[in-house]
Amino acid sequence: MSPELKAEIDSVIANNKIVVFIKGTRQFPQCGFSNTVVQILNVMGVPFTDINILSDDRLRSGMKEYSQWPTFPQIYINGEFYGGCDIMIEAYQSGELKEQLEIALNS
Amino acid sequence: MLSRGASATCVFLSQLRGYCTVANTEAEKAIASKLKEALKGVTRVEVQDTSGGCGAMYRIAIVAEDFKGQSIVKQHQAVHRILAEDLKRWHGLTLDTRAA
Repeated sequence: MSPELKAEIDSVIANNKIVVFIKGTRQFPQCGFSNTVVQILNVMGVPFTDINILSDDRLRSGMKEYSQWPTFPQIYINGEFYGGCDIMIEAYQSGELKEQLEIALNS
Repeated sequence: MLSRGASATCVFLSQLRGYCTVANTEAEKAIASKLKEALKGVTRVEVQDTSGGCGAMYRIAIVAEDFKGQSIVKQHQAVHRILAEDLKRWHGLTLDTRAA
């Protein structure tokens, strides 16, 4: 990943409480897993930033290295890598996600 | 190749032996073996092709001692490293990991 791109990603993650790197956009997700994450966040009613990794191949391959995670979606909460779709689904079903988001948004 | 009856028996026996592998096709068994070799204290591993037999997407559940004390993300990353080559060819992966 080029230093410029890395700096941009660092900045987006640092300046936005919830950031999701997805295939497609929040209006038009282009993958089931990415869509699930978008819908969960919509239902939770929280503000979030979506980044379409399909828009740029350097972003798509770069984020796999940056996050040390081979698939998308990739979720960041409060500047930290949170996980992918499975992790969010489990946290959503257990009620843990609601807590985690509240803590994140209030910090 | 495990038949449905054999897998049910395996689940029952797993309660007795505390160890079970659920993997039916050659591809699924290969993945299960890779995981059992690379992780310590695997007490349960299930590999299921969820792409209708196309080898493009899998659901994998693992219970292993190696996961003790690791966050879910670290547990998943450990599995990603073991399956790195395969992952390049897959469309998706559903992971369910747990410490033994």
